[in-house]
Amino acid sequence: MEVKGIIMRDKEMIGDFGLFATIAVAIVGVGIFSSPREVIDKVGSDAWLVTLIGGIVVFLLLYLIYMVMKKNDFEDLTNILQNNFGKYLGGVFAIIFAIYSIFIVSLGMREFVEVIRQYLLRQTPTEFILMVTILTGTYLVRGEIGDLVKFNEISFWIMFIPAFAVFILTVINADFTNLLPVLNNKPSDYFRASRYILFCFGGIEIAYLILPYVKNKKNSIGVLRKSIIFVTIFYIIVMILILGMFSKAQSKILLWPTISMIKSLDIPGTFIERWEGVVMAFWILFYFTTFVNTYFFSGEIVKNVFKLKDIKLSSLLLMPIIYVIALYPDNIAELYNLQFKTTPVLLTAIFVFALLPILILLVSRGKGRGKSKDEI
Amino acid sequence: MKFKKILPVILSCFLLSGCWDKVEIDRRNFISTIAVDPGEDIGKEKELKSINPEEPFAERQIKKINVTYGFPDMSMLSSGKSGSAQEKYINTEAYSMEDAASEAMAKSSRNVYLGHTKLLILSSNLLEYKDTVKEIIDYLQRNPSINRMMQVVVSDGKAEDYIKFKPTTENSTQYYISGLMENSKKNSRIMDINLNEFLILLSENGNALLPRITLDKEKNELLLTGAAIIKDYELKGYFTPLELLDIQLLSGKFNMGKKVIYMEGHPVDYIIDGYERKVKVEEESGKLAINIDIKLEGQLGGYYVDKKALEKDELQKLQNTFNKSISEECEKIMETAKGEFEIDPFGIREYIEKFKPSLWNRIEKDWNEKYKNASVKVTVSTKMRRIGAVQ
Repeated sequence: MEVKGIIMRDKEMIGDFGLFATIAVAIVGVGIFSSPREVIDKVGSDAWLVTLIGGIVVFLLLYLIYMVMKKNDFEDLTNILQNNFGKYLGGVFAIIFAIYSIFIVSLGMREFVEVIRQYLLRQTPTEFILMVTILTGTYLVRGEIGDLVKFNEISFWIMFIPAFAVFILTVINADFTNLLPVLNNKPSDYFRASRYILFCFGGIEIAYLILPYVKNKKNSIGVLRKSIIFVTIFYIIVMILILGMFSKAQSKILLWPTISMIKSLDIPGTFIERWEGVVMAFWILFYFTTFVNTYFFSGEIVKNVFKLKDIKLSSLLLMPIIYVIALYPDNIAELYNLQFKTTPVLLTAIFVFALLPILILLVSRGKGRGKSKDEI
Repeated sequence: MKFKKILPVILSCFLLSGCWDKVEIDRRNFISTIAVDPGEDIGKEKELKSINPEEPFAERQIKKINVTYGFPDMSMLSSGKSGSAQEKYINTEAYSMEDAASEAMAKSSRNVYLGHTKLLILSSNLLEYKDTVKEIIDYLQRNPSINRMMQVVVSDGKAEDYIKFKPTTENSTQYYISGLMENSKKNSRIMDINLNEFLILLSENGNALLPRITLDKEKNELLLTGAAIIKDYELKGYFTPLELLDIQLLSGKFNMGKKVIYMEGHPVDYIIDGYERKVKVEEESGKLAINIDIKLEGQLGGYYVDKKALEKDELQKLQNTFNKSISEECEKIMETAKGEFEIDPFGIREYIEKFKPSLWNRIEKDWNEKYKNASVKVTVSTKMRRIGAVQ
């Protein structure tokens, strides 16, 4: 036990900013391209409100994760699951978690590739873009978690500085009266819209991976809150700008309103035109960070469950799975069907993000009581 | 060890050579203007409907539309030479916009590239065919490389002629028309609209106003002449530039302009440089009452040598006359727009939707009827702040 404690302390090398950046870049992913359409389609001008509510719900889920980690002395996820549910059941739960993450991130990869093919590389084969992305990701995952966090810290700036610059320039053409009326929908519409916005926040499971390595665990919950607030504000800005730029009616039609918005940048009197190619290149990072973090997370689980030597091996095992899942949907319609309208996927999501942490908390509380009784 | 060093080199060869999307800039044809005319087969819409969707060889010679692509001749632009290039054009006959693009590709040595298009000219004849217009609009929305910031105009007659037109002050029509539209910021008798705004208007209710251009062949002049009224993807009529000014006043898009009244036979010009509009819509006994308040600020532009304007009463008199004249004019225009054309370029619908959602929920179903029968009151308050350099 003591030896383990020393090892754990050695590993604690992630600072507060590392945690903040990792959570932020892991969450902001490919969902930001398409989900504004779905949300605006359901609730119109209240899209920003739904985003805010989504942010609050996601923070609660993240808080749940934090509680689970805290109850279990910040061990890694597989250990927590196996300690609480026994070796086999815990292992199965861990694998479900890993498969779900990989599944969602692979579908995200397909969407990302489709966007790239539509706007940047028209002739390049889908398979090639997939392969290059996966290989690049694997290279990063083969490093230690410290490298991953450093990468996240750097990408954070590369991602958000250009993004906010673009937003400022978009404001010129936006008509903010499009945000009216407020609260003019049926409550059930808000509920239906929240599904899509919650999908945008996928990636919070990275907290399971990263929390054990954080230096200053007392601050963690504050840092988590900050990163969720940051992401929520980012999404709200995107929603507001899309509504301002395209109004309700047009945003419903556009498949990827965010990209159309970037493309429609028109700054009077500038000498640069059609710079969305440059901006799109930055946006590749938005997906890539989500992918790499989730990949690492799943690789770590697979490694621990099957007692593999290191993550290099488990990442190799996952590589073909990602490739196959990403290639599986025939077309973009099937892709969205798989993401949003397939009941097993939705149920797994609810299980993984809401039920599982609650179960762990219940079980570990029961165990804790039992322990204290034993001690008496 | 040696292998480990060589491997990255081999790998990079493999990865870097995969350049599928390589395009040389001098292989591209940067289209600056797209002009769409009806083709000779456009009247056969009914005949086309009878075609079985599963029929083989669907790609047939149907000349539904006539698309002309205007582009600057890049081969004339080389280092050392200055100035803008001469404009050239490719003319295609096709059944759809996509077909036209591929046809144009077959007719030119360079790759047709639509990302830099600045101007879309729709022929007034084309706008009579609703179904074809819808096809074209869908293409413009769907194609990701189309520049959504290009300007849209309706041409009086054949759009192709406008591309071929040689303006006196510019090298190309596109520059000329863009310049004209730019003036809309200084003169509200001209409107300008880009594709993004046009698509938004169409997706909201299918109604829009588009600037109209006319070619005077005798004088060799190209003019912006008011606006074309699009209702439900169809051309319904035109507004003259003067009517357009009033519409801009009513819709809140006014920038600058002038108004005139005649006092004892002499024109009095009022140059408007400040402007504010407020809309109020209320439902009174089942009928909509639209109140528009317009506040104008400006200066006296021209009067008569013997007249003195530097008197409070005189100015008040002028202001009152302007108030009356402008408000009556605006009311009339609004009556025609909603009564005759049944269109709403004033943003009344958006206003109710945004600011009176409960009213909108109630009247949404029979909006057209309600709007048509609404009563209109326009109150104008002009302020003449300055009178120029003489009394």
